[in-house]
Formats: sequence, C-alpha cells, structure tokens
Amino acid sequence: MTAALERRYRRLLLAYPSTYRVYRGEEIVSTLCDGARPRQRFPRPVEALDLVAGGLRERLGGPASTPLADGLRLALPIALVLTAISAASAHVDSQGPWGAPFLQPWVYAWAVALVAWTISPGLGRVAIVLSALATLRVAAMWSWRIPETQLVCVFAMLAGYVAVAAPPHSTTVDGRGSGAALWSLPGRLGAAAVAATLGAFGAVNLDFGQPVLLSVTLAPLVLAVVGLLARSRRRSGLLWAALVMAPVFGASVLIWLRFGNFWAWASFGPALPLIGGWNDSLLDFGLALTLTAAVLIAHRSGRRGLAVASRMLTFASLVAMACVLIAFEIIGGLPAIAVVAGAAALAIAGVAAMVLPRPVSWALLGLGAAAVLSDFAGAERERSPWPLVVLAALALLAALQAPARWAGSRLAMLGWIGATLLIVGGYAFVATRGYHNFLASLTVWETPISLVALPACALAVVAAAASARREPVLASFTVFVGLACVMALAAPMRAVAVIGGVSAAGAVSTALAARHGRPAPS
Amino acid sequence: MASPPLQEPTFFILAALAAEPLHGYGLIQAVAELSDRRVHLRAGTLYPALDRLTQEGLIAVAREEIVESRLRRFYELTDDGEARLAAEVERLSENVAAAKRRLAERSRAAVRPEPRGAEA
Repeated sequence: MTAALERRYRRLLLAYPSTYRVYRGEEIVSTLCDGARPRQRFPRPVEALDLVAGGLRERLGGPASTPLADGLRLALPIALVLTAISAASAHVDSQGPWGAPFLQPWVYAWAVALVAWTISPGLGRVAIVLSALATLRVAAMWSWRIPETQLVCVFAMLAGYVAVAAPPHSTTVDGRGSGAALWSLPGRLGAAAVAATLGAFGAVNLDFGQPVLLSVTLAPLVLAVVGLLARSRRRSGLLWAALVMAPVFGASVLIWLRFGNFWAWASFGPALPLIGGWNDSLLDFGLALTLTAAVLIAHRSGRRGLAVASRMLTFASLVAMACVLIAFEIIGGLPAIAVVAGAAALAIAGVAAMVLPRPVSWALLGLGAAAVLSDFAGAERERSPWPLVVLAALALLAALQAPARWAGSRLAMLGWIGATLLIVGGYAFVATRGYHNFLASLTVWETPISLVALPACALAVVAAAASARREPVLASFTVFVGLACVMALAAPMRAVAVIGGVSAAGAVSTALAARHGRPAPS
Repeated sequence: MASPPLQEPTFFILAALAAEPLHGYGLIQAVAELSDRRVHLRAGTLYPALDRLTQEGLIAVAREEIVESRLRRFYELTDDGEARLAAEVERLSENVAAAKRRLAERSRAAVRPEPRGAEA
C-alpha cells in the first residue's frame, strides 16, 4: 500500500456526494487501504467501477432520500441539459420565435447550475435559485418588449420550479437534516399556489401564435401538481422524474405537430432564457460570472448560512417578481418598478445579512443581488452610478473578509477578486462613458473580448473552487463539455477561441489549485 | 408481521457481527469466510448496506478507533438485529428441513427406475 494508492482511492471517492464523504469518506478509504495488496499502486478496475457506481447510486438517491427528491434530482439536470441544448440549437436558427437574437450568458448560467447540481444537491439548489434570478433579470429587461402574458408565464415557471425544485431535506447519513423549515409544507404550498395561479392566468391569456408558451405554462402546473401529490414513499425516483417530465414533453410534441414549429418544440418548458436578446453583452457575462462565483464560493463559506440565504433569496426573487408585475400593471413603466424591486431586493438582502452567520457568504450574495438589482435599475443602456457604489462597497467587503476563509484555495480568491474588479470596472466604464463605447473598446478582430475572457475567468473560478472541494475533474470536464457543445453550434471560429481559452484556463487553474489549494479533509 | 427474507449479503453481515463488533475490512473478511469465499463485499455495496441496517436499527456503531491515522468504525449487532437474524435463521432452517423431507421422499421413490432422457 502506497500513499499514491490512497490518493487515487480518494480521487475515486469524488464520485460520492460531499455530504456523504464527510461522514463515510475516511472510513471507506481505510477499508480500501486495509484490503490493498502489498505494493499495490493503482486501484483495481473492479474497485474503481464499484466506487464510481456506488457514488452514482448515492447521488441518485441514497437510502435517506425521498422518492420526490430522487425524482427531482433526476428531472432537474435533464431539464437543464435540455435548456442548454435548446439554447444551443437556437443559435443555429439565428432568429428566435420572436425574431430576437438569442442570449448566450444564460446558457452559461444554466450550465453552471447543471454542474452545481451534479456536484451536490445543496449547492445545486442555490445555483437553481440564482439562475432563476438571472432569468428573472432577463424577463425584467425585456418586459417593455414582450407582452405581459409571457412575463406571467415566466414567473409562473419560476414559481413552479421553486415549488418543487428545492429538495425538502438533505438528510445526511447520520440522520441529521440540514434544516429546511421554510421549505416545509407551507413554503411549498405557497409557491405551488403562486405557480398555479400565474399558470392559469397565462393559459387563459395564451396567444397560440407563440406556441412555446403553452408548454411554458403547462410546466409549472405539472410541477406544482406533482409536488403536491408526491406524498407516497413507495414510488421510485425514476418514476417521479418521468411524471415530472412527460407532460412537458407531451405538450411540446403536440405543439410541434399542431403548429409545425420545431424551434418552439425544441425550446419547450425550461428554455426560458431564449426569450432574451441583448447579445454579446459583457454585463451579462459579468452577471453570469457573479452568480457562478457567488454560488461556488459562498457555498464553501458555510452550509447552514447558505441554506438560509438561498431560501431568503428565493423569496426575495418571488417578492421582487411580484413587485415588478404589480408595478408594471399599475405604473406601466420600468424605471419606477426598478425602484420597487430594487428596494425589495435590498431589504431582503439586508435581512439575509443579519441572519447569516458568515460574513463572506452574505457579502458575496449581496454582491450578486446588487448586480441583479442594478440591472433592474438600469432600464436604459446608460447605467446610473449608484449601483456602482453598492457594488464597489460589497466587493471591497468581500475582498477584505475573504482571504482567511479561502485559505484552502488561493486561486479561487484571486479569480474572485479579479472577476470582481472586472465587473466593477465594467460598471464604472459604462456609468461614465456609455454602454456602446464600452463594447467597442473591448472588441478585437470583430469579436468581443468578453466572449473569451469572462467565460475563461468564470471557469477558472469554478475549477479552483471545485478543486478546493476536491472535485476538480468533474467540474472542469462538465463545464468544458457544456461550453464546447454550445459554442461549436453557435459559431465555429468563436468556438475555437473560447474552447481554447477555457480549456487552457481550466487546465492551468486545476493544476495550480491541485498543487496549492488542497485543504485538510473535513 | 413477518419480515421479508434477508438478502444474502445482508444475512452474512448480520451473521458476521453476531460474534463480535467488526470494522469495514474485518467485516469483508468475515463475510468472505462465512460464505466460503462466495460473497465478496466491496465498499460500494458494503456501506450502503451498513447505512440501511443502521437506519433500520439492526446494527449500530460500537466504537471508533484511529489506527495509524486511519479511521476505523466498528459495528455491532443490536438487540433488534439479533432478533431479526434469529428469525431469519429459524426461517431458513425450516426451509432446509422442508426441502430435506422432500429429498428423502424422492430418494425413496427413486428405488423404482424411471425412463429419462439420455443427454448429458
């Protein structure tokens, strides 16, 4: 038995969820090492297969999980993959269902959510919430161009996700739940009611000239109903996944047959990001990056705090959505809404800051929230300077608080600070010089630099943070494949540039983080 | 209410723990020995089984030891586990007895010859 063998066993153990490894990891490694032959250097193939299969089984529903949680764990990644695929396919068809160009950053946001979900349900929950916030931001940006019906459908969809997407309890092996008081039955019922009401409204006002909306409307209803009915513990997770997904598929196929619109079919249900426009925007990348980094790094800072934060942010998004919706109806203009939504988001972030035990997590989450609300406020392309002040203050706070917490991964810290500077700098430039000058200044060979720089930067942060959590290969690989698929379909030349940059950044950061940032096992 | 029959690995795990508390690798060895090298547990199957048995209250963690900086968690049979194993042993012995009776009847019947197919 050698140290190298032990290291390789540990690497194989990454197949297991992190919560499981906390309790069982050391024990399993001991057992494996006890059983190793003298001078054995590599895990035997059967052992490797056994560990990976065991880890996957654990991820797809350990003994402590409920069937609904199992089902969602399967259904949500599927939905997210399909979102990415439909977004990517939309690039082939340069005109969307509404003749709008498609928005790329949301593909990244959802891809990150998918990665996060794969790595850990707890982390994925937050990623889903933040992706929903990001999607919401798109909806807000577009609310003066798209009919309210669509907006309602967007919100219904999000509420439906919220109703069932948050796993009820992530029970650890030793039986301690991670606590989900707000997500117990009342929370679910509330979100399901919102979903059902908005969904019904959307269905009544549906314009069948835009058939994709039908599935968008049906999806939350289905999700809500399934969420409420899922009381039985007998059914398997796979069955629930099928139950959740099948009606959405069915509705989409019907739409395809009825209207012959393949792209509407392809962009069914979860493909909300497609309604966006505003291509090649650095700020969108910046926001996606902010969300990514906030999710990953805040997750490291404290599980309990983050669980509270994710719940509060979810409610904040719902409250903000309601504010936007109401104000849109009453006032009929976005800037006034921005004030309401911004105030609501700030208030919630403030409460979250008081509740959370870890300064870093609330500072980072606040930063993400500020980025979102600053875009709420910025209805026009010219930004007002005040969100910049908030952002800068929060970024500074995060930078000051962070190093002690990030002792495990210097690269994650550097990546985060760099990204923060990039975003804040971007906002500063836009606030002072105007949006179009900003974009022009960042264009090289007719390709916006943001297309290469920010995804690479985001990946560096993802990879570094993930390797600090001992899951580098999985994270890098998944992000890479996702990006490659999307970009290759979008534009071959850009794909070469982005994939090159991304893979280089991923490889370097993973290697560096593996050397410097190996924290003590928890 | 009669409990469902135990699966073979589960049965051997409980049987192995009946005599003394064991840790992961010890358990793997004991099960291999008990089953005449037929059942070889691996970590991917052993630990889910331990999780399940712990949840059902049939086994419990007896103690934890750090040996050469390695964590060893020892498991022991609980009273419920003992009762469950005893019930299973009882069920299996009844099965065995019933099957033995039938075999004995067959060997008595086999005294008179019967034409059968010739293929090997």
